[in-house]
Order: sequence, then C-alpha cells, then structure tokens
Amino acid sequence: MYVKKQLFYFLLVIILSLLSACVSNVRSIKYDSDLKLETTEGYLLLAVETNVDLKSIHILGAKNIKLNRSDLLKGSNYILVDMPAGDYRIDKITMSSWLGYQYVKLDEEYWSFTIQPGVISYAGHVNVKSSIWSATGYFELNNKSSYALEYMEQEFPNIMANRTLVYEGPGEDGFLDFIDQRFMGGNVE
Amino acid sequence: MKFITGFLILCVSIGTAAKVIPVNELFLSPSASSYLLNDAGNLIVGKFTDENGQGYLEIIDVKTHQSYKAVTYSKKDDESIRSFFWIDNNHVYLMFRKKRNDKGMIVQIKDKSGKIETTANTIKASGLVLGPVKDEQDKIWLMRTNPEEEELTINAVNVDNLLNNNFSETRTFPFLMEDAIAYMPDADGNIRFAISVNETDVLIWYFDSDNSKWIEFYSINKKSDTFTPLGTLENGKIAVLSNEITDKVAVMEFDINTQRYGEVLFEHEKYDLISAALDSEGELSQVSYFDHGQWKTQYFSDQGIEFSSIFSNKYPQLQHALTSQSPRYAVALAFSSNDPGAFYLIDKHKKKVKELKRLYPNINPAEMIRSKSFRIKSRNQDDLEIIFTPGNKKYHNQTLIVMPHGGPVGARDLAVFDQQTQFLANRGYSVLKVNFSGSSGFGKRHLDKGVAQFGRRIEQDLTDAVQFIESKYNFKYKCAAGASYGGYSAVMLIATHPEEYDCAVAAFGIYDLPMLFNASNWKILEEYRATVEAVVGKESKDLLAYSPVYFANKIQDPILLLAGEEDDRAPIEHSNRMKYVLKKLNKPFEYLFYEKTGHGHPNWYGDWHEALLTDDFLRRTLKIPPIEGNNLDNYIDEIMLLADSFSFEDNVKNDDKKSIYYLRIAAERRHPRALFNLGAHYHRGDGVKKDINQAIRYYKQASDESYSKASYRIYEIYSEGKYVEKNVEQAHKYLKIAGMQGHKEALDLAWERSCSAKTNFFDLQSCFQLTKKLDTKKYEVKIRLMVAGLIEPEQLSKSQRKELFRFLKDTMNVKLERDVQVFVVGEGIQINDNYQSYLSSQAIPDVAMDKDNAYIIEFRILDNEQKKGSASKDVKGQEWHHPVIVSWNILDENETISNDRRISNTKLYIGNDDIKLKYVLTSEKDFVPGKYELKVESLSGKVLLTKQFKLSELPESS
Repeated sequence: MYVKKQLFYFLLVIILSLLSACVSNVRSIKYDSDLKLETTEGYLLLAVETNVDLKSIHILGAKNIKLNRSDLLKGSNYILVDMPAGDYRIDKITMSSWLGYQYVKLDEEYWSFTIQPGVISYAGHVNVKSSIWSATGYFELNNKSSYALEYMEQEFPNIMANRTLVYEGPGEDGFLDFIDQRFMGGNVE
Repeated sequence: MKFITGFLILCVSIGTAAKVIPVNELFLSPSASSYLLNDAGNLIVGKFTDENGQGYLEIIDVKTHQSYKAVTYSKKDDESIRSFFWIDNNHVYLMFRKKRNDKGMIVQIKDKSGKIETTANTIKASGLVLGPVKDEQDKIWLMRTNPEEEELTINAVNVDNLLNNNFSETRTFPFLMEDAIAYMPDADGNIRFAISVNETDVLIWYFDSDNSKWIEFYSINKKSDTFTPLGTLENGKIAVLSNEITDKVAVMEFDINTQRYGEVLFEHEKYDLISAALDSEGELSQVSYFDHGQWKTQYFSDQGIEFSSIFSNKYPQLQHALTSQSPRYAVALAFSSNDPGAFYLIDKHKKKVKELKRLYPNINPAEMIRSKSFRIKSRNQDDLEIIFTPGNKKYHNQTLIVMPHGGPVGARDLAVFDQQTQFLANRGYSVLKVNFSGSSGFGKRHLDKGVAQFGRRIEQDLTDAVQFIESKYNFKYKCAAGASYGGYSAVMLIATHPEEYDCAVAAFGIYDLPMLFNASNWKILEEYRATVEAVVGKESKDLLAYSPVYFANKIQDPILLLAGEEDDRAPIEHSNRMKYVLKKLNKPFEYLFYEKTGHGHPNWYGDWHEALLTDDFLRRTLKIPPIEGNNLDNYIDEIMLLADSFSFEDNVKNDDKKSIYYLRIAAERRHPRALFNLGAHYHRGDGVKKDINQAIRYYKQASDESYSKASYRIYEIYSEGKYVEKNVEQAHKYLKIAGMQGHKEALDLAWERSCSAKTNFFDLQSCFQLTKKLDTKKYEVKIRLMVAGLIEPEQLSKSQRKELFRFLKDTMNVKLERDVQVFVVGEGIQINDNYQSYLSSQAIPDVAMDKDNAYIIEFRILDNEQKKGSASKDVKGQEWHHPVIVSWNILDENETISNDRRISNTKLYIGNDDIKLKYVLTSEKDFVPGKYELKVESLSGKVLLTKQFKLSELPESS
C-alpha cells in the first residue's frame, strides 16, 4: 500500500512537471531585429486592449504559451512573438478581481487563428471589458488590422522590411494584402 | 405709414438674422416635455427644466394659467423625472430617479377656493406601475410579487392603498399567463397585452375580454414588417398599424383568431403612417405621417378637426399634433423646420390658442432658417423628396453642403427643427438633405430600393437631387458631409465626383464594406451577417469596388474624418483604414478620433466640438473668412473651446500643435487666456521650441489684458531668476499688477509688502490701492494690524500719517473726527487661567506676577454723547467705529517709553464691543521687573487712556 502511494506521488510529480513544461511563458519581442526563423516558424502579433490589468492569457496550439501580466496591462498592448507555424486558439484569460484570480475559458470555435510560416500573422485585438468587482466581463476578438500595421511600421520597421504582415484573425480580410500589394510592392497570389 | 412699417420689418429682419447662434445655445436638450391635459380639461401636467438644471413637474390651472411646482429636481444632483401620467383628474403618477435609483410618487391635486394645492408622496408599495384603470377613479394597475404566495399578481390599487402598501381590499386581475414576462394596458386602461419568450421567439399576446382568454397574435422574431396594435374595433377585431400585406404602413383590421388581415382602414397614397388612434367607440380618430418631411395629422372626429382647424388658423406655418384633449380644451405640440417647438393650449369655445411652454426658450425661431421641401423625379424614375435649407443671407458663403442621412435603409430626413442643419445654415451654409432610395416613410418598395445600393443608386439619387438644387440656386463651393452611412456616402460622392465637390466631412463612417462581415469573432456569426446582408447585400469581392479604402487614389478633395474610438456600429477600424491609405497616398485630409465615444457623442460637448471643428475645416478648406464683427466674443469663445479641447481632459486627444493653432487665432484677437496659454507653451516648450522671451512677451500681453495669472507668472519668472536674470523691481511690479487684477496670492503678498514700512517694497499709494482690492470683511483683522503697524512711532512721516487717515476715512469709513472716551470696565490680575478671578474695579499699581499670570484690562470706547452702559448696544455692528490704538510699553527710569524695551506691537482696536486686553507672562524671559504702561490713543493721536502697573519680583519662597 505504501509503495503504491509512493508510486502515485512520483507519477504525479512527473506528470505535473511535464504539464508545466508544456506551457511556456513568453514575453513580447522588444528589439526590432528580425529573427532567423526556421521554415516552420513565423511571428504572431496579438493585441490586447483591456480596461483592467490581466494576469495571463493562455494560447494553445503547435506550442502552448502563456502571455504574462507585464504584457497585459490596462490599456493597449501589442505582443509580438516567434512561434512554430500552425493552428492556435486563445484558450483562457485570467483576471484579478475582488474574489482573487478568475479565469474565463474561451470557446475554441470563436477564438482560433493560424500562424503562417515566414510571415507575421496578426490574430486580432483581444478586447476585454471588465472590472475588479466582476469575475467575468466582455471579450471580443476584433479585426483592427490597420492599427496592427501602424504599430509594426512604427515599432518594428526592420522586421517589417523583411516580413509580410498577414491577417489570420476571425473571418477573411484582404486589407493587409491590398496594402502590401499597393504600397509595399508585395505580390498577392 | 406703410413705408414705416416696411422699414421696421426690414430692420427686424436684418437685425435678427445678423446674430450667430452660439453652438452651446443650439445643441442642448429641450427644457419642456410632455404637457398633457387631464380628462376633465381643467389641469395640465408637464415637465420643465430651467437653464440652471433645476427642473420641476408643473401643474397648470387651465382657467387661470397659474403654474404650480408639484415636484422639483436638480440635474446637478443627478435627479430626474423619468415618466409621468394622469391617473385620474386629480392624481399624477411619476417615476422619480436619483442616482439610478427609481421611486414611484403620486401627486395629489386639490382645488381650494380657486387655488391649487399639490402634495407629492412616495409610493411605499413595490412593483411596476402599468397604467391607470379604466373608469375607476384614482386607481392604477400595479404588477407586483405577492409576498404571501410569492406569485406575480396584477392589482387595481387606489392611491391611498398604493401609498401605504395596503392591498387588503384591492381587485386582482385574475387572468395571468404562466410564462408572461410583461403586461400592458391598452389606451382605455384595460389589461390587454402580454409578452412571453420561448426559445426562439418573443411573443405578443392579446387578452380577449369577452372570452377571458389570451390569444397569441404576433411574434417579433417572425416578422420584420411594422405591426403596432392600436386597440379594439367596434366589430371586436383589432386595428393595427402594419405594412405586412401593403406597401405603405396602413391602419389594418386584424382578426386575432384567424391571424388574418381584413379591411384596410386607412392607407396613404404616398406615405407610411407614423401613428394612428381609435376613439372610445373603437373608430379611427386620427392618422399621422410625414408629407414632404412635415408632420401631418389627419383627424376624422369632429372634435379633432375643430381643434386642429383653430390651431392652423392661428399658426398656419407650424406643424402640429394634439397631445391630449377634453371637450373644450386641447394641448398641441407644434414645431417647424425653424422652430424647435412649443406646447399650446387650444380653447374651442373662445377659438383661442395660448402658448404654454417652449421646448427651447432661448431659441428664437425668427433667427432660424426655414427649410424648403421639393419632390423630384430621379434618373431611375423614382419620386424623391428633398429638403433644402438656404444659408443665412447675412453670412451666406455660397457653399452647398450635401448631407446624406445615416442608415441608409430605414432612416430618413425630415423638415423639422434640426440642430446640425440650423448650425450650418445660421453660419451661411446651405444644406441639402435627400430621402433617397432606402429612406423610410415612403413604403416598402422605396425602402427595398436602397438595399445593396451602397455607392450606387443611393449616390445617384443624391447626385440627381444636387443637380436639381443647383438648377435653382447658385453655389461657388460644394462639400459632402454626413455621419454613419452619411459619412460613407460623403466620401463616395467626392471620390466619384472629384471635379464637382470641394471637400467632405465624414463622421462615424464605414469605408471598407467587406469588413462589415469580418469585423470581429462575433460579427462573423451568421445572425449578425444576415443583418448586414439585409442592408449591404451579399458579401462578395464586388463590394471592394464600393469601398473607398480601396480606391482612395481617386479622392482629390480634402476630407475631415471624424470617428468614435468605441464605435460598435461603425468600428473605428474603418476610419483608421481610410486615414492610413489617405496618408500613404499623401491626400489632403485631417482626422479626429474621439475617445470614449461610440456611434455618436455621449454628451452635448461632443456635438459642439464636432460642429465647430466642421465649420473651421470648411472655412479653412474653402477659404471662407470666419464670422467675426459683432459676433467677435462668441467667435473667440468657440475658438477657445477648440483650443482647450486639445489641452484638457475630455474626449479629444490632446495635441499641442492643434491647441496652439487655435490659441494663436484667439491671441491675435487679444484673448487674455489665449495669450497666457501661448506664453505657457513657449515657457514649457510644449508644441513649440522653448523660448522664454516669447513666453514673457505673451505673458506681458496677457497681463496687459488684465489676466492676473500672467502677471503673477511674470513675477515668478523675475523673482526666481531661473530663466532670466533676477529682477526684483520687475518682479514686484508684476506682483502688484497681479494683485490689482485680483490674483489672491499676489494680492496678499503685494499688500503685505507695500503696506509694511519696514520692507523695501513699502509704498503707501500701492498699499492703499491694494487694500481697496481686499475683501474688507474677511481681512478686517489684518487691515487693523496693518494700520497699527504703520502708525507705530517713526514709521510714517506726518504727511504720510495724514494720507493714511484720509484713506481710512474715505475708503474704510473710519470715523476719525468724532471725539471718544475710554471707560474702564474692569482691571485685575488673572491667576492660573481663572478667567473670572481677575475682575476688580480697583487700580492695581503694584503687582507681583508669576508665570502664566496675566494683567487684564477691559474697557469700552464711547462717543462723548453716549452714555456709559449704552455704548455696547449703540456701536455694535458698525465697522471701524471708534478705532483706537493700543500699545504696551515698558517705561524707563525717566518714565518715558523705552523703544528698545517695547514688549508688543501696536494694535488697532475698534469699539464695537468691550475690549479685553491682557498681558501674560508666558516665560521667564518675559519677566522683566519694572514699570509697564498700557496706552490707548485715538487715530488722531489723542491719548485716551494710560494704565500703569509695576511688575515686582516675586518674593522668594521660604
């Protein structure tokens, strides 16, 4: 009986270690220097507009990541990270309220996006409206491609010189392709 | 005589038209609302808010026209009256709101010998008031949860029981539905309608009182057409406003049991009906619609026809609607394109009309511009109604503003008072509005013609209307301006007709049509897309051809883009995309995205700002000079509103450069605060290169315009010596100026300095001038100290003393010339703070005092004519009456005042009360054995009293 219990705890520690290893804490790229990405990698650009400080946002997919408080302060935040290409979804948003930390699990169907290899995939602007007195709030993933474009041009001109910004958020939108073709000399297939 | 009259009319006409209406007098909420007669026709209830935000529910006596305030509220305290209605002839129900908390109240009205008395009480019973009960005096329907059975009930409760939460003898409506969420009475006061919700539908139910059963007759989700029940017809069927089987919204007979329409009771040839009513017999009594954008009511009852006819005879130019009627009286709301409206009382017997209350008391219709309506045939052979408002002749700037409405499907323009139109017309712009394909009010076919016609048929209609107006009037410039769809349309018009237009103002618009289907993860859902599709048409790449973001290169004319950052209907992304491409293409454009703003402004300030920014943009773009002249003050105030908007916390993002632009305009016209703010920009280097000399130059100009903050700022700059060489003289000069201009800190300091003979800044004339600026009541003690300080020995020359006394006499009303005496009331030694222990009428020539002991003297100042004892009463309350100077001194061996051993400053007292003085030994240091003297003098130098006492050393304790 004692051996069984020991084995149980041992396995539990192993599983928890594996689980925690599955979710990487990531922070937004700060320096405007294009990374040498593998052919199976791309950049993710996600914006978070929130009226309260958020604790974290979990994103699951080809790589599981967690965006942390320092990138999720009240106001507008842009997060640029290099990631393996593939399908992703924003899984949950954790906020602090008067009850302590509360998280909201998001519906996969409405919070999915793709990271394309070799380009900057803009997944949208996560809009959070909540208050510290509330354990929930209003959440929406908005298409604000032009704001994302202005941000990248302003803050990461070197990366933008090498990479194309593409829209991978909800629905279909040809605006960034149009801009690339019309003003950046890109080719749209 | 005819000539004189004509001349007077001309003068009045020109005089009134010359006034520019300030933006904040035009864009504001109405003061009056909902004036209604009771059934007896002897009282009217209405709500009015004055310009200070003080509001009241008023009861007007129809016979005497006397008004009584029944309930008052203050907007400043976040109070309002949400709704009210007559319960019966003597009771009004109202919903009072304070800080989002609602409470029901009842006003009881009593007529006491011709004088109205009103009593307002709060309802103790909780529940939702549904409306008055038919034919039952002072009863209303209340829906509530019965606390005993915890079930929903509807009770017919009388006023007293409602106020006292007493339901012991109330009648209950027994036919409640199981799943209804709301009930409504009909116009006759019978519970007639209920609403229930199931998984897919919102259902409306009708109560068949003959058979005592509820019948489902309408599902909100099933039908997109108009369906408004009006009441029960004579034949038991109901009358509804509907366009389900007709092109126009008409009054239809509807059989609830068969769910079928019957006879068309009234359908207008051209227009949708807006409202209709049945009389108590179940017959159609009136229908209303907009004809050429003007409200028209067609009455079928003799009474309605007669009231309407009396009103029309008196005010043929006004559109009117009867809001309530009794056999003799009716109340009408009347308005027009140049008149925001008023409530009127019509007396059928006397055939008279009396104005009760204006909705906007400060707006004079004679100063507004009347619109003209036309009907034209479009290129697509549609009849289009257009509304044209010519620009104010006085300020006419030969500019046509083509202003498409929002929507575009289901909205419309009217020929009624419109603040935006009047703002532009008042400032000289002519405004054209068009009820293009898709506009409401002209039937379903006209409505459907606008679907999927973004940038196509709609803009063709607008262009046809413009051609028509241009065939009748001449314009030098033409701009398109609008909000929502109107913003889109404005940009489309200039993109597709660059040669014909000169500019566009596009507010809260959409510019990328495919994005309407892809704006967010919720807006890609089918339900939402279906609503977009119903107006825009199917999502397809074809929409790119009608999305100006994708062909902005065709735009040649300047654009002002306005948007709300929190707009959910026209997301800000549309405007930002437009801004992005215009910037990339180096097109002439300006933009302003309002913070904390949705699809329109959350407050009037936003509307003022948008209107002024639009006017400024149009004038700069078209090179139309601003309207100044007699309106200079208003012009500068409005320019300063714009300047401030870019500097302060509001919904407009701060922008130093824009603020400075407007400040310069106002500064050129010597606006004091503008000059100061410009100086501050140069001082801090905000928006301009830091330049202290420029800053000082602007500060000095502001100071010249009596702006005290500027004068004080110059004082600070010169006295600090941080930015320029320290200059004490200049600093003091501007300190005095600031003080004279009313700057509080400057006044205090400059006054103290100028009035103190011991400082280098002493200047008796400045002292007098600054003293005059003081609040003499508040500063009385300080002024007395100041005067006392000045009259100390060797402070002033003889002539200066004279000047001082003259000043006190002339300015402070000090009675110097009256001879006074001092009468000692009491004198003694106070031991150990025992206040009562000192009194003694005996002189105390030689005292021994310990620490904390005090020598006390109390005296009273009297006129020579006054008798002892009456002095206090006689002089009390008079300021600066009988001033005396009091000084405490130590005498030297020669019995003269020893200047180097003076023990306190000279003080000035006034004889309003008995004066009690004390000399306290507070420390060992004070204990100086010797002869002490208290001297009381008049201002003219006459010694009124001297008191001496000798301070001896305490005997050593044994």
